[in-house]
Amino acid sequence: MADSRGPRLFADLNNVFKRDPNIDEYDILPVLEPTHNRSPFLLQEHKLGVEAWAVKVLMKYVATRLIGWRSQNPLVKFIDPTEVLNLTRALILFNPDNYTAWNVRKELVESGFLNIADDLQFGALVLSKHPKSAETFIHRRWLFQQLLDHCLSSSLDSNGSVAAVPENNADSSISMDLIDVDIVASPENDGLLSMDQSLECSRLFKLHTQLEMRVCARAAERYQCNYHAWSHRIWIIQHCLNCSLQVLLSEMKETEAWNSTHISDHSGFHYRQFLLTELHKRQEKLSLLSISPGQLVHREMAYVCDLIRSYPGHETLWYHRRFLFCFMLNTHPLDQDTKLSCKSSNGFSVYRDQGEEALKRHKTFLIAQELESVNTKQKLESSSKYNHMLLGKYVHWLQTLLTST
Amino acid sequence: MGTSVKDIVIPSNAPKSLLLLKHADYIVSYGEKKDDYEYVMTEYLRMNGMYWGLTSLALVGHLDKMNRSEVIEFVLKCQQDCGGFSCSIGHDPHLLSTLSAIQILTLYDAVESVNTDAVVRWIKSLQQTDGSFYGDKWGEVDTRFSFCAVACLALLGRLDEINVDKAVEFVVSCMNFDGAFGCRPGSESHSGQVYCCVGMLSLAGRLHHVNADQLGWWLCERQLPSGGLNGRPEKLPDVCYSWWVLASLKIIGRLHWIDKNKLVEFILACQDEETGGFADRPGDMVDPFHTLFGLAGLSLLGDTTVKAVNPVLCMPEELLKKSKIQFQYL
Ligand SMILES: [Zn+2]
Repeated sequence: MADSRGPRLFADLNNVFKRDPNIDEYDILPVLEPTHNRSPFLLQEHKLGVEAWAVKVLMKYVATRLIGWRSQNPLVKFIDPTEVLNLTRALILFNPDNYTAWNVRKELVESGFLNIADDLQFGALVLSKHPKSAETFIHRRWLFQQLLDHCLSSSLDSNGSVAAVPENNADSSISMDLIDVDIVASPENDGLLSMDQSLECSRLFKLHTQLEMRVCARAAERYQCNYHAWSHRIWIIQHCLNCSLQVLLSEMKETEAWNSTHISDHSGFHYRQFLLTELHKRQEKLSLLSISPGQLVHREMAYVCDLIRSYPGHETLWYHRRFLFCFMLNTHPLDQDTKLSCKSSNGFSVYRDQGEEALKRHKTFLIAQELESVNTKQKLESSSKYNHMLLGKYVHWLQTLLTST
Repeated sequence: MGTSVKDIVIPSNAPKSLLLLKHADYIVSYGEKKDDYEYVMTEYLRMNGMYWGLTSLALVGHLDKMNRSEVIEFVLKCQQDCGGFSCSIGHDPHLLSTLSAIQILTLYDAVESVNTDAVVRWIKSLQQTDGSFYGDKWGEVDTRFSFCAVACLALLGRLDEINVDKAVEFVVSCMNFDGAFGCRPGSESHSGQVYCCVGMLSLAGRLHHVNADQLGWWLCERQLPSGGLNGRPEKLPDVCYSWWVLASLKIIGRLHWIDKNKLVEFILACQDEETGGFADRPGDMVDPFHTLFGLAGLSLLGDTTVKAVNPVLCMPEELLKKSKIQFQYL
């Protein structure tokens, strides 16, 4: 039996959003039965609360109606786009991984009925309650792909100007200082209508990209080890910011304080591993700024060793150390001081001639050095039993590296 | 800041033996309650849910408890014009639901009742020049989709229709320094993604790309003092991750590296004695998803009251023996 309260609740929800289009958080209120004369929707300072009983009734109604329309059920065949959009909103708020509902929104974007900025704002709202909703992040990547395509085509339209194509000038044009842009301030394009379309597109793209980093940070804060939030952030860096050097460096800096206070968040530390790997790939450009990747990695190693000392017993920190050690082992075989120790009696020419052999010896030396450092220094310092176990695992891991070298 | 390991303690009164029949009852009754809020909320997973439930039943030898023709009729209705399957009627096609659909049809030996040419054509159309796969026409890329595509085609005996070399190349590009895999190049290692990548490489016959010792070590470190396995560092143990890690270890020939008895104890403790079914952790709510992976895990660990499970496709081994699918193991 269809619940007659469904359409009413749906209309009420739509009115709530009409009253306040800037709702930025919402939640379900643990009210299981309706109370006479009281609306199940509570709106206060851009926060929306919906009573649990109403969510149940509402979900059945909107899901049946939206999917009925989608499957061309003759009873609900004709629904105007505004209602379709509202149905997807109601459904996704409480069922965020309903991918078909997100696809309906994609179609509405394609037909020009829904604008990308509004949809990004809606997704951010969904993430405030469901910070690890995979489909919400998937939809956002699609929206960003649309923005990218727009920029590309509008820049081609305007005489092949490349202003909007991040591939070409992301390094110079995107300053992460702009990351402090107020997140609620929506792009005011009214005054800019006369501006060259491609420049405008590029400006909007940058703005949204910067806001997106904040969206990721907030989702990471709300749910720890948030795989989707961090892999989305990586995607944005790769696809929208073209892994520009400036961005990579500022992200290293930006996330350090966060990582120091989230020492169990492996996803957050993996993000730093990603940044370091990308920085290494750009070592030539990096050297123009008189930074060497080696410097960055050594600094990071000091940072993580410091954290391990301050907070013993965290697997994440030990894993980060593994990454850094592996990184040093494989990317800086000709590091200054170790070069000398590998030189033995024969000097550098031999080192080059017997490349493979010397490299092997060099790696073995580094591993032995690391083993000694954890065995003596850290063993004395590690107080907890669990940290001792983690240390033991690290030692074992180093030993397996030794046998495979 | 806690310095102890993130883990659970198994309650002393937790189940210690397998409640085989209860699980069959649980799955059957789960399929019966329909006009429920829960049912609406899980509709986007309907096809996957049916695969979990039906495979659970098949593993305990009670597939006959479900109505075969009703199930097949539902699956047929979910095949879209493009060839792919949706999670439910009126929803959109996706590779995730398409693999579940093909698995269900294989369980019932009814693959021929759908348009397999259309499925193959659609899957082919989702492969990109870098070898990766879109999950559907909207363009999301994930190593899970590489597994789904290859597994579907293997089940249909049409693996040669895609560019396997390129598909392998993409999956290998998602390998990290620890030997494990993420969802895309540069992404964090994750047990679920490891299972998909290792399974994909097994079906493609390219397991030599895997550093089995390194990956095996990372996978083994997922075992916690309670015996359960987690999916990533500093996460809680979970029955579903126990399966993904276990199956991956089996494929790369390192199953003996973990403490089997402790893991069996953990999985058994996740059963609900009253309702049947398995939960993610002892004492939590049971669901068909964890029920399948609980049963499959026990099977891989050598429990002979459950039918032998295939570690790559998570289906009864006896069924796949009849097919010509090649599985590579290290
Ligand atoms: Zn689970």
